[in-house]
Amino acid sequence: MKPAPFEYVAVDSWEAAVAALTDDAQVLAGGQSLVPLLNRRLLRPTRLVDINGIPGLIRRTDGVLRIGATVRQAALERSVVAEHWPLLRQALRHVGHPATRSRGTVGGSVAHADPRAELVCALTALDARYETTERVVEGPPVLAPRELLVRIELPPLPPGAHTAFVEHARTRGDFADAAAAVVLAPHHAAIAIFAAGRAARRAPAAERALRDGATVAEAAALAAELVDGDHPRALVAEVTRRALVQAGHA
Amino acid sequence: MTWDELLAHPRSRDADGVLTVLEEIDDDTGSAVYRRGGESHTVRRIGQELDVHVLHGEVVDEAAAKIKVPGTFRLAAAGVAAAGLAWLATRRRA
Repeated sequence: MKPAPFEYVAVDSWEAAVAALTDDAQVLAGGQSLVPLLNRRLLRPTRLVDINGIPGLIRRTDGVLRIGATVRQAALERSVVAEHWPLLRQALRHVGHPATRSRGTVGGSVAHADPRAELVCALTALDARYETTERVVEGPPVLAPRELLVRIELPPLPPGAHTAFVEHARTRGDFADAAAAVVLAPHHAAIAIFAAGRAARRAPAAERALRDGATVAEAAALAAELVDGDHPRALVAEVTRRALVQAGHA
Repeated sequence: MTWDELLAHPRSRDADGVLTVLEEIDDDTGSAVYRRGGESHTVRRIGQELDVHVLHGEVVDEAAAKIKVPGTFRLAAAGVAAAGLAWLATRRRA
């Protein structure tokens, strides 16, 4: 199928993008999620605002990484600057396939708000802040109408940090059933998980337990308590256990 | 092209229509990465004057040329500079 008719507007600035948005407009970035929805006519916007003309930049200043919303996933994956945040690359390897990552944008992954988005899970473990055209929020933003995600900001990792990302997907490249992103450093532990259709979230009880010297199995069990159902709980426990081991937890 | 110009024009096309896209800036190390023709290239800022002579490889500026360096490095730098000047010449024809 082909999309229903729509008006196409290409912009080259965030101000122009906001001005071009109407109540039933959709924003086109990488199009890896939007275009299939358009083709199947699950979405019928009257206007498509193309923001690919807005330059996306990966920039590190004073140890803080800022990722423009229109940065391609592939650009972040091969980024030299982002090597200081290895969890990003570890998670991006699981996002779709190289062909989709070459077009898909970082901001698109966040704005699309699929609860199974690997990149959002990693960003949650990295304490990301999100800057929109209207505000700055700590967690993944729920965008209001005519609000656009502009950039994502990551603080530096603690000294000596090790990271890992593990997921369970029935088919490689498909959305995962469960995933865990882990950041471990002396006196620091961050675990983000998602499963069972619920969006990524931190596991504070497991993080506290790790800082207090809990074993891998104990921390994984605490993280698994965040999800409902025996099978999702078992999946989360296992991916968390594997991620903690990969991150070097004894 | 200067460093500031490089940052001010994150996307540009040369006379042949090849797109150059600035992808990364590391202010902490004074380096940038741009994408051209399917390849990534690193540009490094040297000194306070950010005169970028060469985009295909390491930036060589006039201040750096005054620094005493071994002959091998001078030869390599001259080669890289020649390639950069050739590239700049194609841009000026645009």
